[in-house]
Amino acid sequence: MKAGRGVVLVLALALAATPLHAADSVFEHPATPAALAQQLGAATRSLQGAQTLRGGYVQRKTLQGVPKPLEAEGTFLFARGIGIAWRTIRPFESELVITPTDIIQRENGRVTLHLAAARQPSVRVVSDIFAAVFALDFEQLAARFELFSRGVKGGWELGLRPRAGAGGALKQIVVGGQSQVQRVRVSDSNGDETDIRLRDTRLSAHAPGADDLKVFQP
Amino acid sequence: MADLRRRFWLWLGAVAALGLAYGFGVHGKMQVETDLLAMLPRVERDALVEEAVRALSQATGRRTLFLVGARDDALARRAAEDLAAALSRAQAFERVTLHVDVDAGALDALYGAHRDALLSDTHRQWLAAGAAARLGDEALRALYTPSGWLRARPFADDPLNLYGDFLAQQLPLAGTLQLQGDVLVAPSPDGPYLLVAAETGDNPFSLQANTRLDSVIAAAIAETQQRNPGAEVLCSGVVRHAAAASAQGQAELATFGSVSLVAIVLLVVLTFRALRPLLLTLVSLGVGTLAALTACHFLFERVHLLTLVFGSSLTGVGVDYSIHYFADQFRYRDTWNPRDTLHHVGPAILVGMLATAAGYLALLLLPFPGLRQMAVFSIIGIVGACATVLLAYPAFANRTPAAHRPAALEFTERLSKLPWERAMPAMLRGHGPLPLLVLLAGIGALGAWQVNFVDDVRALQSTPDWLKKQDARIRELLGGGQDTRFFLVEGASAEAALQAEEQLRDGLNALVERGALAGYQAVSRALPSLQRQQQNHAWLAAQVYAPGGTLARTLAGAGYSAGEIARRRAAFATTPPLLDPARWLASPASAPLRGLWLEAVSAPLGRGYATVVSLSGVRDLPALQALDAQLPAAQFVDRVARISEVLQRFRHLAAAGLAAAFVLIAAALMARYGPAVGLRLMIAPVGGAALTLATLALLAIPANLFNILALLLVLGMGVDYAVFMREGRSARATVIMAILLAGLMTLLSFGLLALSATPFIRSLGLTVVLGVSFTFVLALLSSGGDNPGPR
Repeated sequence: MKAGRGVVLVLALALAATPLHAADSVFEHPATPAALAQQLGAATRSLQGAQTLRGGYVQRKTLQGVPKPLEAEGTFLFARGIGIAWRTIRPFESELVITPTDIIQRENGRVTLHLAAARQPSVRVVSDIFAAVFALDFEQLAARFELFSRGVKGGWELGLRPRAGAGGALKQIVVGGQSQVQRVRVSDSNGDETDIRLRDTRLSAHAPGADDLKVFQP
Repeated sequence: MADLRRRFWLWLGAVAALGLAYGFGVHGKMQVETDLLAMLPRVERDALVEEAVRALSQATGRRTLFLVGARDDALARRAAEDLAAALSRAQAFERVTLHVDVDAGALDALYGAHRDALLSDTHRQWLAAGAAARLGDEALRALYTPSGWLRARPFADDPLNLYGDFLAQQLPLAGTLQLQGDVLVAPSPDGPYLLVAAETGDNPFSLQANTRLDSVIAAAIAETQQRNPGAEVLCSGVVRHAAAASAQGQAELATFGSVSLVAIVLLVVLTFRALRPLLLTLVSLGVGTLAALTACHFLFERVHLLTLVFGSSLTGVGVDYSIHYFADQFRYRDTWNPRDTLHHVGPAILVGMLATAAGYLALLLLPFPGLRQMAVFSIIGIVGACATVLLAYPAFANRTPAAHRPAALEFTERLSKLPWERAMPAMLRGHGPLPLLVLLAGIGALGAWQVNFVDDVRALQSTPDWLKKQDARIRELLGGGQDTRFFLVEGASAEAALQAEEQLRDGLNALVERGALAGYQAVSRALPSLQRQQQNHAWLAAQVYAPGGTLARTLAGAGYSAGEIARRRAAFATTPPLLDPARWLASPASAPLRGLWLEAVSAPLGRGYATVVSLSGVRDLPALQALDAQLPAAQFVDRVARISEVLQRFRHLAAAGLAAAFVLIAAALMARYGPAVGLRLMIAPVGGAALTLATLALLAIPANLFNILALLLVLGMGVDYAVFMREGRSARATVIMAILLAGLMTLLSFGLLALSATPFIRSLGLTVVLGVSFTFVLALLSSGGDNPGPR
């Protein structure tokens, strides 16, 4: 009997400990698009209404077997329904434009890479990651990712795990923020990590101007 | 009487044997075919090409594609899941695929060991140009920009993305399809369309199989749309076409058959006013039909549905003999008895039947399986009907002539007293038949010259509009489906075939680049030749893995230690194992392309190894034909063009045959009746054909092989009008009545064929209607002088 009680006690402790342990990862908290819209809707209302977002970013990439993280920084422009322009300023100048149909990379005004989404399914994966960052369209995300979420101190976290078969090197994505997205961590299956922090994000409820649109032309 | 009895027993024995053969051998066992390809002649000179076409057509025939679309992703996805589940539940398909298994494990198991000898086409181009540095630039860019996520494998695993790019090249993508998660999606302004594919194990062209499949498909679509309001399901596949064609064929068969039957009942009852002629007529047609079905079943593996549709005209042709037999009673009203009828009309019936059979026999001469079936069906059918008339009627027919005068006889008697009855004969007596014949032949030649001949495979096909629209929509959504044209590549060994394919691919890549071709599928993209693998390895060794090469520079740039770099260079195999066809074929990863590997087709023909390179979105045909000319081991196969060529060649043959038939018949008639009468008898058949051609030209009806073949049938049926009128000139009104009634039935049954949805059956029907009408009128006009009546 005594031994039995001991087992029960251990089990009870273990059960009690579970929530504490789970607090370590957003991936312990599955979520549905509807629940997410309810939880994050108020916090991200200004984001949902924005037509453009622009700001700066810092990216740190940690590679397995390389002691020093690789750092890059630059600016970004998100235009709802049009695409994302991701401009790297350091360590070299490069511009990556992602639209639903194309990915174009330019260097010194010269196109160094042009991929049509039709030919390269990973183009969609990339544009989905960016959609996750900027538009927070939960329904669309749910089609490609399993969703997770939890509240953290001063904000929220959104976990994305590719559905079976989406494959590639991508393991999971954690998006964190308050009224806006502030941080995106992408983990590759081999342990490489990419940590992107956004700063000085400015929202606008107006459609992008002609100057902004020019960058999206192929 | 003993003679009559012998005839009757002979007939009864034959019918009993036929009944047994049908009952035990045919009933319930007959395989009805709906595949148009099975009707077509072998159009290729090369047996390998023919077999390749057959193999591909079988493979495409088993596949049915569905596109499930909705305004938003989630609904489209739910609907696609429902559709896939409904299709699987019916257990009619061998495989139903919604979730694309891009089985990374299988790909890796196949290619992993060989990666040091594999390169994508793009990277090969770079290395061939000595531009390995580009690999390094791209790799570093991938580290600092989001373009790194475009890679199939993590940086550490494949820093230069060499293996990753090769794997990306293996994705089974074509046109607009994108892999989103684990489903293939065709994007559109109306929302996404998800692809569901279903494959059958059965032959989709068997009537039983495709009717079942089609109802399973229709039920699954209905269920999906009902459960997901707002979702749209599009479907395309040979099964649907085959089922539509079957439904159409069966409906026509039922309509044409019952209309003909009702017409026969009315005609026989109104003319002969007795039950016995009606029953006998139905027996003779029944025996003919049964004999035709039985013969086709035993002679051909499968009976084509279109044979049966065309065979419905048998009632109109086979009823002639009954009409001639029973009409005889109005001729010798006082002395008539069933036995004498045989002497009066027996020979004429036999000659008429043989002439008609000769017309059908012409269809047998062309190596055209579909036409041969139709010819066999018709010939056996009329022989059966005619044999019943000649053998069984004398024993069963009414013993005394009917007391009434049929209205039709009154009509023809009045007809033969009209003044214009003698107009043409008078003219013919003045100038002889030759000027008129020359005039008619001239009209015919002019008509033939003016007719717009269209030798197009579309003459053979009929697709309902709704299906055409749906196919077009699916092609639009998918950015053009697979083309019917393809390249066939040959080699004495597997290696030779792969090398030849790679040469072809170099050309095709250039065409894709400049937009002349949307894409292609080829084995050598997934299974490079040994030669190419060795070359890949040599390039990699010299430019990438050499000391101070691209790899070392790139890794150093990313911050890797010298030791790590040395370890990676050492991992590059000096002699990598090469991927061979046997290993590739055995892997599950080769499934999507295995159908292009035609060893099983080429080896039995003693032709070594063959592969197919399938094409999509052909926009520059001459460029592809140029590749065919450049590469001896690759030939461009354009099935549709070949069929059109063959239809044209057959049309020329048939036209020559028609001309020869006229000459032969003219010679025979001149030998029998002397030159003047013989030529006069030719006026009706020659004029019938000539005026038909002129009518087609005047009405701008496009013509083809089948119109010419129909003229041969008209000749076979029309010659005996002239002969009957000549032979029966002592009782002209009766003969004309019999011919008129028989001709009306022919017009009716072929007129129904002219309403068929299948273009070539329509051509046959229309031409026979025109030809028989003209022939009858000309026979009537030109034979008036034969009437020894009141003059």
